[in-house]
Amino acid sequence: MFNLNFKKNYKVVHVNNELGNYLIGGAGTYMNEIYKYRPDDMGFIYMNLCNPFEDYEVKGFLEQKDILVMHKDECSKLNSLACEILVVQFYEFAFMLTEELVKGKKIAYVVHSVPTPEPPPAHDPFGGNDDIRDKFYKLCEMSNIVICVSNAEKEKLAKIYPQFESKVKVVHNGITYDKNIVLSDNYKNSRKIFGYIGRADYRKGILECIREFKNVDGELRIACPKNDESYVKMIIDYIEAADMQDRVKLYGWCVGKRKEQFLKSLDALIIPSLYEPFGYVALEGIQYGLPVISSKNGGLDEIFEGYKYKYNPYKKSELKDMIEQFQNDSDAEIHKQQQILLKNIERFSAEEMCRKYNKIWDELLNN
Amino acid sequence: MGIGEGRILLKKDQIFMVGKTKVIITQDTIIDKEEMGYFILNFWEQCDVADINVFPVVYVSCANEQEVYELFKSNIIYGGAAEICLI
Repeated sequence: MFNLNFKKNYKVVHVNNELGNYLIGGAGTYMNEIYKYRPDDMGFIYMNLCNPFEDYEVKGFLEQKDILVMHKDECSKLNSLACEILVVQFYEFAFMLTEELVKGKKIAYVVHSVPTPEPPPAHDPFGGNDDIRDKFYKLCEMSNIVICVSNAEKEKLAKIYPQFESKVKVVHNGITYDKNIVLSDNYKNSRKIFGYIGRADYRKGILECIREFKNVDGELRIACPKNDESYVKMIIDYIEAADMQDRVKLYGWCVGKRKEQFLKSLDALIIPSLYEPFGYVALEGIQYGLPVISSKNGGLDEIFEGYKYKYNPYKKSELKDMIEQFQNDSDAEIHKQQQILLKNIERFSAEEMCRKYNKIWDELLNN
Repeated sequence: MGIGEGRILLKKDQIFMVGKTKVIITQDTIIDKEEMGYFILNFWEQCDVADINVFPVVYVSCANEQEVYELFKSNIIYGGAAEICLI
């Protein structure tokens, strides 16, 4: 464990396994935004759930203030943690909520994802993953308040556990963005370069997207880490078997300037997710002024409210049809759709997200 | 890149061509010219090289044909040591 100017007492302490440069997905982006706009009385615990021997660099933890870095095996040290509200960000932290730790504290659980397979099996939404189900249930039950990152996620949770619906609130995730977004006009010269960026995970629908590209006049660029070896293998096998090496290219795990250049190289971003609890990647695409062709499942439909280029990823050919629609539309129509995205992103600013959270913390303590 | 005594030394972040692809190697690597091995896309580590036409790679040596087969089935391959070209 090491302490980066973590104080003795806080009003709110967040516990997460993603922070600073140590990110996995959207929950990490969210955590960094919360950190950026944190009040003085907010602390952060970064808890490593996997490798106790992982090396960390202090400079990888943002401003190196108000942060405690630890491994889950050291959890007993948290019994002396002094805070009024403990905010748990992941169901895998259910184990840490001992009687001693929660005593005298309010507990909040931010549901970044109801942990089901996609699509959730009707008879058992957790798909037989009883351990995950039990942790998730325990956290929902023990929490004074449960916060979902989209209305879609709230509905999903309430469908599985209607008894928790009354304590669920929705706060959409937010992002810091330049208010003077420059709209990409790559599409005026070319509508053939498309891209996916995100994790390699079957729920992201990458394979389904590649299949649709067999019949699309265009190139698909994929920027992803190899976080799921077997899924990446399926992708590579498919590209080879379909002889699509010239039209589907992998760029690796793009961050920083590379991510920026990757996005700028595209005529449109594709978000083929079978389901997204929220969909931070959509906000990133909008930030770069890109037209987006997106799945409408989960939180994405809330981000892309009133927008034209969205489709059902479970319906064969819908992506191909939507790409063709984009390719055939006039410049003016695409520009009009970009304007809708510019308007929509205003509802997802990090400042607004933090304001809503701070209001919830105050209400939680006052009630 | 240093070459001598049948070995090739590639320094971390060195950019060179492998066949037709421009790559950047993400770790110090010594290659024995006699061994079987290939440069593969490194997507286990974050890459912030701004030029997206430069691909991050690691070198993987293979002990036999079976290992070569396995490597090709699960990775993006750019070529072997014989296809290195300095730029």
